[in-house]
Amino acid sequence: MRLRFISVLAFLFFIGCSAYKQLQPKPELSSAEKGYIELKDGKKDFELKKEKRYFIQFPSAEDKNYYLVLSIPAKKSFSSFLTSQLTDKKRPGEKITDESTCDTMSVYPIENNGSGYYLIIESIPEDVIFNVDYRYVPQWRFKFENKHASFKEILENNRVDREAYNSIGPGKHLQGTNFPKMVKFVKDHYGELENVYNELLAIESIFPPSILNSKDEAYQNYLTLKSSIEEEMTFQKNYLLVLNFFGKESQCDGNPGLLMESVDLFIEFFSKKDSLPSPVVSEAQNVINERLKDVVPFYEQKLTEKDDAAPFDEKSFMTSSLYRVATLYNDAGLAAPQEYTVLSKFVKDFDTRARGLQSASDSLAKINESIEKLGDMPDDKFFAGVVKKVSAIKTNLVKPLDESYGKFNEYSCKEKLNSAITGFTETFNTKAEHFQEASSLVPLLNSLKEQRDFSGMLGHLTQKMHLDFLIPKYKPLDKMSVDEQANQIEISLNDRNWPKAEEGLRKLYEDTHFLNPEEIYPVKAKVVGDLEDSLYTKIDRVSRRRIVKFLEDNIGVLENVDSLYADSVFLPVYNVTFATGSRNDLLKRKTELIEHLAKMKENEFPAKAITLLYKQFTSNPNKDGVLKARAVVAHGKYYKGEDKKVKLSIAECDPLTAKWIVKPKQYRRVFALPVTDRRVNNKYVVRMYIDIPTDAKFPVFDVNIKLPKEIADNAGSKQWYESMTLNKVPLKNEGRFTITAPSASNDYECQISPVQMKKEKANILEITFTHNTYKVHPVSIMVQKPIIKKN
Amino acid sequence: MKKTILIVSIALVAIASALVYFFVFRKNLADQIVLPYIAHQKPRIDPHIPSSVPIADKLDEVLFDGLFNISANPSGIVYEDGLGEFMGLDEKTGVVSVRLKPRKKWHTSYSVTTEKKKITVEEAQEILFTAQDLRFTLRRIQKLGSMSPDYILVSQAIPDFDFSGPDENGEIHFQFRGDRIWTESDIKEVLSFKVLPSDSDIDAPVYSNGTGPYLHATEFEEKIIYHKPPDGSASLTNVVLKPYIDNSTYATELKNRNINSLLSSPFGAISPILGDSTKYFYKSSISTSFFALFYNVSRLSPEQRHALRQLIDNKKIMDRFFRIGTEQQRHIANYKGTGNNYDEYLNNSIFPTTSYYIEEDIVVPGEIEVEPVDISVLPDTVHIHTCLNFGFREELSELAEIMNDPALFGGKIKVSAVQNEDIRRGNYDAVLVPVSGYRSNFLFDLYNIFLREPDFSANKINLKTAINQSGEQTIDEQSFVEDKNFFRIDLASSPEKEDFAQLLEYIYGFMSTHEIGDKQVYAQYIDQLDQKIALGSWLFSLPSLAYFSTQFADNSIDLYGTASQLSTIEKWQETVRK
Repeated sequence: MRLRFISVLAFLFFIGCSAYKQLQPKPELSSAEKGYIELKDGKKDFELKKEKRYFIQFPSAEDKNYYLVLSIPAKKSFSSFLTSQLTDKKRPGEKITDESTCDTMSVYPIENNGSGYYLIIESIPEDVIFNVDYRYVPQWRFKFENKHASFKEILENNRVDREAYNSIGPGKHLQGTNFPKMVKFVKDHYGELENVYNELLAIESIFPPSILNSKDEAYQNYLTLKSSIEEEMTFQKNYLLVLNFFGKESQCDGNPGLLMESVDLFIEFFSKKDSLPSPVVSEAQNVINERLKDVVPFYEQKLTEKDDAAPFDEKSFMTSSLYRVATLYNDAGLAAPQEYTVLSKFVKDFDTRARGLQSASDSLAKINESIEKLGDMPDDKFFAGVVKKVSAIKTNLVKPLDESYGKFNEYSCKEKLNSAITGFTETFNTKAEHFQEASSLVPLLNSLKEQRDFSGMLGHLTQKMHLDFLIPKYKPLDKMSVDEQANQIEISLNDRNWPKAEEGLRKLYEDTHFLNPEEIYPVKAKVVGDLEDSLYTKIDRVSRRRIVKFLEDNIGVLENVDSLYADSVFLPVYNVTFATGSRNDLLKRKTELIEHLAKMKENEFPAKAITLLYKQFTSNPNKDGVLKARAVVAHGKYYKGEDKKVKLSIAECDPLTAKWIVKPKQYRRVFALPVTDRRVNNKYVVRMYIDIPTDAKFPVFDVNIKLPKEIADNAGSKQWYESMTLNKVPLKNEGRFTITAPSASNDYECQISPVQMKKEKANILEITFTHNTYKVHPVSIMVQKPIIKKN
Repeated sequence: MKKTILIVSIALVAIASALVYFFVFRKNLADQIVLPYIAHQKPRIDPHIPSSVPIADKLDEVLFDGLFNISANPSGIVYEDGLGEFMGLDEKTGVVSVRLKPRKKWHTSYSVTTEKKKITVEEAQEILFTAQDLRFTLRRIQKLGSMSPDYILVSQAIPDFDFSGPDENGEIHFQFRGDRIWTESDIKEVLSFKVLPSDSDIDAPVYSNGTGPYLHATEFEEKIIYHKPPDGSASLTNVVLKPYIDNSTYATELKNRNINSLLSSPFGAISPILGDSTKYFYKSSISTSFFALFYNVSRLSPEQRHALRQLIDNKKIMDRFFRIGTEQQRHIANYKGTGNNYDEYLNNSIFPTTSYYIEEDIVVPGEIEVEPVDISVLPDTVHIHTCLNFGFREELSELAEIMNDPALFGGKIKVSAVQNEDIRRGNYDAVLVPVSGYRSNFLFDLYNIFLREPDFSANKINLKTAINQSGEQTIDEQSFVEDKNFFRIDLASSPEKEDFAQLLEYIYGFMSTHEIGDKQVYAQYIDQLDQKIALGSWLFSLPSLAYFSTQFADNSIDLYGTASQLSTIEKWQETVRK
């Protein structure tokens, strides 16, 4: 099955690719224009075999625009077409369209192509006798011969009766005619004739040159028919012109608006008057002359109703039609009446001025708009340009209508127009002056602006407040002025030029040169307030820095610390005399400033000194430790702050201040400091405030004291301490007390045990000892519950 | 001429006599410390149990060593290596390491010979201290329990009374409790208990073999002689205890150079016959003895006891005792400062005024108001007995005389000196007792007051304990038996059983705890209960004053507590004469 399928495909392929068999007629084919010629294989017709394919080669035409016409009675028995190419007798070229619609004929347009044409025959279902006649014929001839009769018939069928037309004359202008129906009738006929005429022109377009002026019958028939059609069409065209004129004129009766809309139609009619019979023209002049008498009253009515200075609206006033009436009069050969002439002049002059006014107004509006659109603070050239534009407008400014318009002088619209022109002119002149002022002022302002003299700019501007278009452009200037002055004050403050800053502040406070005082005053007040605060704050800050510097310079002062606190450095660096408020406010602020600095004297200065000294002290207690500790305590006398760390530092350095011990089982470092200033045998004091949280009703502790070797080294031969007291009661290594001696074997740790504390009361343990040193001795103290000792 | 010859002859005779006295009859106390003791109260030394004879406790420091020994210097107490060397504390684990001294000899390592009063001590078979001795000692202390102050000392640090080791380095390791920071001093304090040889009888009545600075050499003519071992570190060679009938002649003996150290002067007062500061110096310390009247609860009802307590005005007694305001006033020194601070010795509680509990207001005597009692409830005569045969004879005689003065108590009281056997029988309304050797620190000894058998000659404590159902040791009611305490308290028969049982609980609680807070509370309970049931009149304490001959250098004798007056004895030195 599969093999059979493949075999069929192969067969069809070979069939499809097989060559066309050429049929070679005898006698050979001729392209001469001779009418139909039989195509024969000798004396017989060709026999076409079933399922065979054939071609016949036809010679090319002798000229362009020919037809090859084939008369084939059995056209439907096979398939055929004409082509200009047949490659290798196998592949035909593009099919040439058969223009025939007949089942027994084929008509192929051909040219003089040199290579000829191939008639391809295929798809022959049955054997058939190929009976065919052929003809080479110019296309115009073939077409005209085929349509001549029908063209003549159309002409005759569309001729229009000329009687009515010819009846037009004085007093007779087709009254009673249904103009629309008649116009349609004539137009329809004219259309039919026009179609035929166009076909004739198409045939004429393919006439061979040789046919012109020849006696060829077909050609002569063509000329006759064309002339007849042209004559009838000319009549029908004129008839339509006349029908339209009189029809429209008839419609305009009582409708002057339509009359004005139809002016051009009437002008066109009279422009073709030469092609029309004189009676027709004469009757038309009479009719139109009467009709135009409606124009002036029509416009008088409209002008009476107009009550503004606006230019005429073309749609409703049809001014161009009004002006064209003069042409109509002229083309119709009629004289225009005086009323029309005055009307036309008034309308034209009014409209011209109104438009001139409107143009000037628009120009000024554009200038204003350009000013409005202009950003802040124009450059020097802007208003110079404006002045130039204004000059140009001024040159073309319209003047009021004079009194030469007869009855129209009294019309309201004229009065309105003249009033508008006068009013605008005055406004314009004022504006022009203002622009001129602005043109002069702006460069000056810009010059001041470059110098950032915003206040000076405002001084000039406040003198020109009438330049309302200009002032808003400088709206930001108020804030700029305030900002600039504030900036200058800030610079002075930063330069610590306190008098200049204060003067600037005073000037800003008193400044009244502003474009929008209501708006800027609150801003200014805030800025002044802020700067005033800043003045005080910076004086405060600089004073504080001076104090800090003073501290840094004097941090090494360990003796006579009290003298530091008597220094004038704690006073403000400048005595302010300005305040936005009252005298009392000034005094109050100055007092606050002094008090604030005093706080530094009582807080920050001693706190910082204490912190720095304490840090130095703790990092290296052996380097001037005693003096530093005493300096800390001396600074501490002036310290009134609440910083726990500072207070703790003071307490740590003050041998007479008890050091808090609040946690059990933790060694706490304290510094034993001398309270005397001897070279030898200085007395040292260590005080501890023991407050260990405990649930015990009768809290009792061991106190362990790790001593420096230097202190405890001789404890074996001499009591190392002078006294130990708890709440001023001496503790002795007697009785029930045990005081363990510090020694190398116990890492110089002394233990006092048991030390009975008073619950919820201050328990001050004080240890004094004397030593030949004059230095700081760090001591570590630890408290914990005791053990029960045997002895 | 004759006259001149006569004068010269007399002078020569005098000089010759002086030379004979100096070289033949002079009392040579050189290189020895001579102390007096009551002849019939021979010190019975037990380093772990307090003795009724003060000198016995003090001799602990002479004969024995602890792992560490408590000593003193001018700045306070110091801990010195004894049988151990402190190696360190691991703070994370609480393990204390001690290296045992390898060459410490027991006194039995020496032989002692005496020839014509000359004592020769020579090396014999060496018997060294070992960890086994230490373990034995700890076991003994644990067994003694609250009877021994060392038990409290050790139990607060080493709950298992044991140690590990020794290792190859001879180190032993104690696991200390982790509830505190153990300073080196605290550790050494805990390990300062005296060590006995492991071959000792655990319940021996007396111990004499130690490793201390002096060994028990000999006794002759009731003298007890302790001698420095050949390799000992003590400065002086001998410590001699000389016997006397009573303490009335102690000052004279010192003056007569029969002794050179007197650890407790009669009446605790400054002796007028020892006023020459070129020859004598004294050192005052906290009181360790007080006098009290213990009421016989089997003979006096609570109402009568309150009446008797109300009748006895201890200040009147003390004023008479010290003859205050008279030419014969007995002046006293004050270890704290100025002297004659008599009022500080008046006691109003079981706890003496000098003790921690009163001084720090833990116990406030008189805090509970007691209803006034009509003394007419008392018997016509309140019979108070005492015994003058065992210490404090001088003081007790004086007190008896004072209280018998009708001007003082209207003849309502009759104090009689009786024999010790009479005391034992309890034939008294109250008994006047000297309580000696008390500690004013946390370790005030209540057993010595309430559980001491009524025997002036001995210090036997009738402490009976039992194990309760929870496995805890508790006190047994048998501890209060009528003939086993001066108060004649007997839980089996007393109508006040409930109060006495409570008292016994409190006493045991106080004595057995190592928690200070517990001790404070028990002290309050006991005082309050005593105020309720009125067990005695607590009279006053006796000042503690020690006299020394200037034979010794003052600065070589550091005292820091009477119980250890002799702890620095090896450092005592004779004054270097120029």
